[in-house]
Amino acid sequence: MKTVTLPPDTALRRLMRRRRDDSLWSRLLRRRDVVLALAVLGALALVALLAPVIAPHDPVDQDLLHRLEGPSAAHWLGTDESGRDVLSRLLYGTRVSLGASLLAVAVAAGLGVPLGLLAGYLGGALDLALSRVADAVLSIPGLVLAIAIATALGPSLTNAMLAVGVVYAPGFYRVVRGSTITVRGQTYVHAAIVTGCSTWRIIGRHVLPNVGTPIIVKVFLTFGYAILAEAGLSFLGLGVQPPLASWGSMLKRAVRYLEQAPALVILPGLVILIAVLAFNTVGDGLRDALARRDREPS
Amino acid sequence: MIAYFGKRLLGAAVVLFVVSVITFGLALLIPGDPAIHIAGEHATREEIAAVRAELGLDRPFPVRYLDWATAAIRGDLGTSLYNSEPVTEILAARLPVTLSLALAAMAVAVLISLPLGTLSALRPGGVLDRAISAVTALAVATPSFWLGLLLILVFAITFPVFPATGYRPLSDGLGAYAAHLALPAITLGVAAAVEPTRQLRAALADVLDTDYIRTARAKGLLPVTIVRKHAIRNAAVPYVTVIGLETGQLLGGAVVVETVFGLPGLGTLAEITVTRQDLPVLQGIVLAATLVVIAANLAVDLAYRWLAPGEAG
Repeated sequence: MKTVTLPPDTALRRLMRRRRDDSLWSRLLRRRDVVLALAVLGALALVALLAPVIAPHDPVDQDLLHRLEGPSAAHWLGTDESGRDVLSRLLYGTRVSLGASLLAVAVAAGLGVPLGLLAGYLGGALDLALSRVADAVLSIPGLVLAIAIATALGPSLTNAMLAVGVVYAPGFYRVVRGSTITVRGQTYVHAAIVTGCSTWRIIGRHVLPNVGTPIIVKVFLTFGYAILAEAGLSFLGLGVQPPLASWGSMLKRAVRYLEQAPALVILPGLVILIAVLAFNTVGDGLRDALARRDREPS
Repeated sequence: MIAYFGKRLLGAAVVLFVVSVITFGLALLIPGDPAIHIAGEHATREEIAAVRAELGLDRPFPVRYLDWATAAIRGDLGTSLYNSEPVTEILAARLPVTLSLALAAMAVAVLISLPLGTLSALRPGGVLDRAISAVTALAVATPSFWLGLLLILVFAITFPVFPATGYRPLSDGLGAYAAHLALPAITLGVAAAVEPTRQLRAALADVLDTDYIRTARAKGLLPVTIVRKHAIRNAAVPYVTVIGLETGQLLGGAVVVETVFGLPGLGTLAEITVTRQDLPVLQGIVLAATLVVIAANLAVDLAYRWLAPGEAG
């Protein structure tokens, strides 16, 4: 039998290579920083889920004889001002901080995505009104609005994160509205209209799947912001209430001991930094991969 | 020019109207009856009714909004629930502190982003570009109040160069004023420098790739001269836009940073107000902060006309 060998640079070969490499995820996974960031996020998710199993101590267990101690065999990262184990509090804090940020992102997407779809697809007065509201919300400094809403609702972590979700909703709205307007002009949407599909069916079955990737990018980037917002609001006393701890509330308590025990301030901040960096890296990586795909249509 | 600016003013007025409705609507979010809250839990039904009438809570929402808005336009934002001081006076006393901080932070952001953005644009993808992009990624992920605490730790406690906390007005002398603003301004400015750096890099890299720059290079001009004389003005429009857009971000960040450094501005006011649940003051803070953002955006629009007279429309 005779095998056919293609010359090294034929169009067919290039096409085959592109087929193999062109999926968004394979583009993404070729970037080492993104892979590392995904690993960090996986580890954080595991810590959040398994905190009770892996934490060496009870995070609220006080031991006033061993306050503000440095690292030891019993307390790997030392103890805080009430003699509580810092490592265990950080591990449990992962659960509180990530859970709270997830809530904020869910609220932001839950408001922004459907409204963006409707405004982008239907246009007209609805679009005009919703876009004005989005402009207005975006022109209020985010943290100031979050503080005002959270204060009105009463101080609790849930209320604070609902507020953060409202603040970030216009971001989702704008991204989804813009993508929807592009998709609406496509032939397959016209075809669906002609074949008599209902508006809801078109939005759900034809538009939504095609605006999915920008939404995923936005989810990752908003998650990073939400972690920072949670930390900021907890630092102001609007977030998680004691004795529970999030990364931000640990920082708030540690400020008073900045001179005596700087590690209490440095550690939670470092964890926040790493988490936000990981979310941003994945989000940016996805966005870049997406932009490159759109620039080189196959 | 006047027509253009008028259009922008009208847009700003619409935004301000919607923001004012949102701000006033915050009161609706408070769980329970505010009249009971103020009259106290053991008040009689008549006392509660009296408070309701006094606060105007017995009238429909749009009527109450109109009253509040017309008073607000005259500069009357009501009085604090905590100490009955007029909200406008409370805000006026603190606004200069927050504006000083925001302007100083903006200056820091420009001082950081101008050189960093230019350097990375000179050789996109080069070692310097990648290093700068790593630094900006770190800066955007850093909680600002944490950076502030680290700065206090290093520059106020370990090496006492700057005061750790507090504020001196400009009337106490420029030295004291600047020394107390330095660390908070750096804290806020670092985060605010990220987007302008990225924007300047992208815009400048595009400009440096054009034919007229290639001509300038071929003439043998130094890269510094090319950027300064030929490229920077064309990359300035997106850069100025982003700087303007950072205002909102700066004012939001100022809340936490003022708290860290004990600056008596709108931010610390917001923090105090939270524990007191003083809604009129909080509404005033939201409105004042939004007004500053809207003013900054109008200033950016004006800057456009100066930077690119033909383009803005």
